[in-house]
Amino acid sequence: MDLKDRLNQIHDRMLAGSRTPSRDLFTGALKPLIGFLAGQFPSLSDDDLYDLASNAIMIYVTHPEACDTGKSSLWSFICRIAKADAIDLLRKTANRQELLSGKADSDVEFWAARAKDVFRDEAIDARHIMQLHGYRLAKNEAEARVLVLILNDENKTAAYATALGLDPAAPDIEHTVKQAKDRMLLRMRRLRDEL
Amino acid sequence: MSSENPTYFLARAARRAARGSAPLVASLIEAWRKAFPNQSPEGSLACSAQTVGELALCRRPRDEQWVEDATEIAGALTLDVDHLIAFLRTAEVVQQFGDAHPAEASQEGRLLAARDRDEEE
Repeated sequence: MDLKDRLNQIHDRMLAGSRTPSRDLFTGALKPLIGFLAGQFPSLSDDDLYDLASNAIMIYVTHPEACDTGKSSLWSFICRIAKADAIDLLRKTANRQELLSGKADSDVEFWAARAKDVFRDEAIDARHIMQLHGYRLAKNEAEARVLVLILNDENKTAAYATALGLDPAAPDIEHTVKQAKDRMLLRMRRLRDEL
Repeated sequence: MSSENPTYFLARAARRAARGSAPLVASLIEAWRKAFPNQSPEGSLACSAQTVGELALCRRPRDEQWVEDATEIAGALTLDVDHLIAFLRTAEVVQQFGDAHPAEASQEGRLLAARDRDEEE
């Protein structure tokens, strides 16, 4: 029996009220979940990976009814929680300047850290969308920086001017920044409509 | 201790569980340890550290079928059911007592009393 089936059986026992499947979930899924996260987020430390994995399992154990194995497996459920929290962790800890200079270790982390985190599932969806279609929104480094600022709800004109490589004190800079933002927002709307 | 060691993994998960809101036995074991710092759960339950780690990750017995749940846990972990029931009952009592009389509050009262006495002197 593969891991997904074993975990779905654990879920059934959880819902039936048994007291021991939480133990079985920790012993059976913790290490695979850490391995899964390590593959997705290679720059996270062992401690972070461990904490993210165990937190995901504890979130499930606290509210097992939130997992509907008719829609997706328990394995997918805890992976989704752990990934969302990893994205959140990266977003919180990443130095913005480092992100803007494009020093992130991988595309996954690059876009993950930029995906606006509102709700877990939406953050994951945003990350996947950016992986697949991000190149259509940002066609050069300056536009990528503008996109990052929009995703982070930045509203200072000077920040956008700097991202575009322009002098924030230049005359008519507000108009120039507005044009760049409007262009990006239009692309985002078009992409949203296509998807 | 190596992070490859399964006992280490379980013990670490149990420690995190004791601090969280998940309804696991871990918080009961933590309360028991605080109440009896000179004893060990392993000694009280006559089992290994790994078994205590696994016990911590089981869900707490439900009030409405407490004995049945404790018996299920004892069976799964091959623990003596009487030892486990005594251990869990004791832990629940000390946890409830701790919740009703938090250590920080009682300590704060003591410090205030000591200060009053200093001022009188």
